[in-house]
Amino acid sequence: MLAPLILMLANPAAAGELRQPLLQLLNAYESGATQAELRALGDGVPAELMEIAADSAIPHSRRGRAVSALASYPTPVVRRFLEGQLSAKDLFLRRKASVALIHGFQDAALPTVQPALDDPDVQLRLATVRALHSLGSDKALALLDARRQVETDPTVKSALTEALR
Amino acid sequence: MRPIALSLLFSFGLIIAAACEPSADDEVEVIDLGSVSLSDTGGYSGALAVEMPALTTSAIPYCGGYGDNALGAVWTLTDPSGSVVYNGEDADTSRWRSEFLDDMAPALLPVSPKLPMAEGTWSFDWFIGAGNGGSIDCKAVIRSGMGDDVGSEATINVEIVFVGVDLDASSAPEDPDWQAVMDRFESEWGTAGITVNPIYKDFSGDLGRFTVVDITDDDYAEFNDLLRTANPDDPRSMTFFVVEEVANNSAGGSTILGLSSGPPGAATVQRTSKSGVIVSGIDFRGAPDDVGKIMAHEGGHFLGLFHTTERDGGQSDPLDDTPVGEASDNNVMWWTLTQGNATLSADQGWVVRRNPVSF
Repeated sequence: MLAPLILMLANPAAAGELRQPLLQLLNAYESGATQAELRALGDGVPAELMEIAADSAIPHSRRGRAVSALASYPTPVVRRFLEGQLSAKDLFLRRKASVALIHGFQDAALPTVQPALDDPDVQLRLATVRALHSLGSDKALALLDARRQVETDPTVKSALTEALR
Repeated sequence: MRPIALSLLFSFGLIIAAACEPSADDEVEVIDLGSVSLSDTGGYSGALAVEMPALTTSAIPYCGGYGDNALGAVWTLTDPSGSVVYNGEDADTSRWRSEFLDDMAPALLPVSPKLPMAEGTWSFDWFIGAGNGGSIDCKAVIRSGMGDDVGSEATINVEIVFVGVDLDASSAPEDPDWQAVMDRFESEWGTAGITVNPIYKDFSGDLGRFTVVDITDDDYAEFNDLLRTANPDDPRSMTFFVVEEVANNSAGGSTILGLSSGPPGAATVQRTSKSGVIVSGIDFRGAPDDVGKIMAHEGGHFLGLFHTTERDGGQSDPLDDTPVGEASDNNVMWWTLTQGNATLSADQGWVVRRNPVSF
């Protein structure tokens, strides 16, 4: 319910005009859109990325890439959108949102993503661990250290060990 | 070429398509080029001679074993007449190309009709960067017996290994979504005269580690380790691993739709970091057409094709008949997904039909 309101707040005039150039970037085989490519498209990109991420007619991987790209726009509107994705049902988009929150908002996102470390979905935990490792701040490493005490999945445990080495 | 035998073997309820076989005069052999000691801070292999016999169709000399943290490439290639046909100092204008790759650097000949195979002694000098462990092992795959007379059609045995996706070897041949994937893949490769012979397998390794293949912070250990499990029954096959996702959780990272080893891949060489292609299967139910295109594109890289024009508009492939820039947006090797049935050009077909894995 929150997503349409957020999209209205996020420059609706630009929505649609940028879809094709954005989809061309999001459709690239070997890598998603870079920050420089997104910036080159001008204003209105985050609004269109949120539209794409929320559009169930678009293939899952491209919606996920749109969520990932939102990490380049650390605004309050984007943050609320990503928090909405993190609490949604779609497991794939949840893990993309967790990673985007960590990279876009860094330590400020840690209270929001901390529950993802306890989530039953192994891949969400694993993606969150790796993104926190990549962030590498003291607070991120403290979260990982706490999770290491209780984690039972061998793949996630291995990622935690690697992160805290 | 022997008649294509799409025989189905029914065994314990599993349907396994048998590999097709090449004709008796179309052979692939591996020649040992020896080991070379290097400085761990980086160095050259020195000129390694590869004797191409009469009727050689193609070859993949390679040096490997320098680890996932070092990069290597061919720096100088000399043809049998003694002409330097490739130099890393002038790579953009060459008729040939060698990318810097981790762990193992295959070198495919030919990658363009402008530099066809020739009988005699070719000389390869690799440069391997720092952290190489002090030595490399070098070999050469040589396809011979037919020379340049490979015709306009070829078959490739394609082993497809499912890793943690909602599909398995027994259900894939009847699954309508997966068959839509294969229809697009086969249709796009078919524009080069390639017939795909699919052989399905289920992954028997560590699903927890490889369901999502992670390349965060450019750490390709998981990617390389999954490729190191490629081990088709017939080594003259190429392997596609279909995982849930190839993920880059680095800052600015995202899902990777597919990645090939190479280019080129180490065709017919199994259990190495360059022994196949990994495809994100997350879309195969919702957008099977796209997954088929990803397989066609990444498989093209494995077989020695480059992007028609790179994403930044800079470097183009070494082929004369592929359009440059946006004009090539209906080519299989365009850098982003195409609309409709993309095609391979005559020169691209010429390259892939000569690859050692084709027959």
